[in-house]
Formats: sequence, C-alpha cells, structure tokens
Amino acid sequence: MGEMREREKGRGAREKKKKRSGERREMGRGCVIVFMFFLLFCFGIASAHRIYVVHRIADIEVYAYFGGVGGETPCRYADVEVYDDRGNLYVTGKTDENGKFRFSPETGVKTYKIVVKANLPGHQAETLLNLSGGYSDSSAEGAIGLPMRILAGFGYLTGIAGIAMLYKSRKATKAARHGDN
Amino acid sequence: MVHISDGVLSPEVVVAGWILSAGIIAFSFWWSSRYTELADEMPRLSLMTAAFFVASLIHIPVGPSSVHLILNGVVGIVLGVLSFPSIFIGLVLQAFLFQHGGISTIGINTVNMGIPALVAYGISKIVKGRLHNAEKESLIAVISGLSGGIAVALAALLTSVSLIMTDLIKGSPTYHDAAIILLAAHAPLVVIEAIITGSVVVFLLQVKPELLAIARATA
Repeated sequence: MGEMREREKGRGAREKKKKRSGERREMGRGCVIVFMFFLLFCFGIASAHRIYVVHRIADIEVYAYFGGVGGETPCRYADVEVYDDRGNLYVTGKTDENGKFRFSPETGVKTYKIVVKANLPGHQAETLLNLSGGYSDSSAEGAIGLPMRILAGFGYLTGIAGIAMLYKSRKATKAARHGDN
Repeated sequence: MVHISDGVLSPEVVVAGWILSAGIIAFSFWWSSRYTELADEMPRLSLMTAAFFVASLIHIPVGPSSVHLILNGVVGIVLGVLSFPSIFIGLVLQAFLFQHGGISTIGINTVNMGIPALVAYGISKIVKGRLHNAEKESLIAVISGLSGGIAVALAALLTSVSLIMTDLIKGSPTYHDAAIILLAAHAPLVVIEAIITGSVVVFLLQVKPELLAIARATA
C-alpha cells in the first residue's frame, strides 16, 4: 500500500514534473513568440537610422555690378529678365540691395539668357548661361584683368602719340635735308 | 552713366549718331588744320584721351546706382575742337577694353559727350577772349568750372534725348522718365566736375598756359 502510494506519489510527482516541464516548454514557446513579435516592431526602430540621400539643383545666382576702380558698385533693384533656350521669357524679377538675383533653373533647360536693365536709363547688359558647361564664370571679360586693360589703353594712346612724333621728326629731317640742298 | 549700351537705342538713332560723329570729326580735323598741324597736337590729344579713358573707372555711388566721371569739360577746354575726335577715340577704347558702353552706340555716345565738350570750350574761349587781365584768372577759373559742370549736365541731357527719340520712334514708353532720372543722378557729378575743371584750368594757366586750347591763339 505504501509502495503504491509512493509509486502514486512518484507518478504524481513525475506527472507534475511532466506537467511543469510541459508548462515550461509552453511558456518558453510563448516567450519566443512574444520575442519574435517584439523583434518585428524593432525593425521599425532600426530603419530610422537609415541614411537618406537626396539632391536638388540649387538656385542660380546672378550678380550685376558697375565695374570700376575702387571696387564694384552693386547694381541694386535693377530689372532682371531670364529667357530660356527657346527665347521665351522664363522669369523676371529685381536684383536685391546687393545686386544679386536668384532663380531656380527650369527642369531640362540648360541654356539661359539673362538680361539686366540698370535703373539708370540706357544701361543694360546680358549674359548667356550654359549649365552643361560645368561651373561657368560668365565674367569672361575680366579674364585679362582691369590693370592690364588700362595699360593696354595707355599703350594704344602712347602708340598714337608716338606715330605722330615719328611723322613729325621725319618731316623735320626731310625739311632739313631739303634746306641743305 | 551717359554711356549707352548696345541694344537699347533704335537703329535710326544709332545711324544718325554715326553720321553726326563722322561729320563733326572731319570738321574738327579741318578746322584745327587751319591753325596747327595735327601731328603737333597728337601728344596732347593722347594725354587727354588717356585721362578721359580712365575717368569712367572712377565711380560715385548715387542712390541705388552709380555715376562715373566724364571729364568732357576738361577735355574740351584743353583740346579745343580736337576734343571731339579725342572723345571718340576714348569711347572706342572704353567700349573694347572695358565693355563700357556699346560698340554700335559709339557714334551717338560721342555726339552726346563731345558736343558738350565743344560747348564748354566755346564758353570758356569767349570769356577768356573778353578778359585780357591776368588778374581775372579767378574769373576764368570760375567760368571754366561752370562750363565743366554744364558739359556734364548737357551730356546727361543729350543722352536722355537719344533715349526719348528711341521711345518716339519705337512708340514705347520705356524712357519717358529718362531725362529726369539722368539729370538727377548726375547732379552731384555736375558739382564735382565743375570743381575739377576749374582747378585744372587754374593750375594749367599758372604752370603751362600753352597747354590750354583757350590760351593758345588757335582754335
């Protein structure tokens, strides 16, 4: 009897053990499932660290100024007209107090003609802008440099004076020669 | 600024400018050949052209824009009738080397700046002829200074006339305010150049009077 009870106890204990271990296994499985759900939502947090790269073409800046010695004077509040590559008027505006004007390029249009009309009547300048040429410094006239161009002007004028003086001295020599004869 | 750029004026005004310039240049060569040889005048002409040529680089900000020295009064008083070809050469150099003023408008620009130079010369010469006293040099300086200022004002006026003529021909109202704007913008320059012209004339009269056309017994 005692043995039976012991066996029953043992069986009971074994059954309890099985039950417990079964429960534990189920609990373990449950934990795994819960954890997997948790991981699913974790992906949302992880994707927030992804780096996004986008690009946009920045505005084109136009700067108009009166050139001269002693620095440039910005061409303030001047009318600006921008034409696209087909000659249609694309955008108009005014330069700001620094002589600058910004506009966004039209998609697909690479060449623009920019006309600036200074607020002093009778003065305008235009420049052609070609985006596909890379960074273009449209002030190609400045390539030689202002001091050199001043010297060039003086050179021409000195040349004119020199030719005149040469002519004069030749005449004087001729007259002297004729005088001697 | 009285240098008109390309593409602003109507073709009739541009052509008229060229014809007038050519005529006045030919006249000035003929007139001066009656009194002196051109070869003798050339060094002085080159010097004044150089001064005129760099004058446009000196800017004076006026309101939202700026004006530059013209010096056509000084050139007129020093060179006499040859000031007109001198200004023409100066404008050619400015247009090609500095992109200052258009190339097609060199003719009309010469007319706009050269005629006031001749006017300044005329006024000063008449006044100088009337005054024989050396003591009246201060009066000559004042009159020359005034003519220098008048030369600038006339240049602004003629420039606005050219613009308004373009408006009338084209039938557009673009430059109707041109005269007022140009004259107002150049008002400080009138004063500045009057002072410069007067000072230069006084200085040259004392140091080397024969440099001045008004002091020479020639045109």
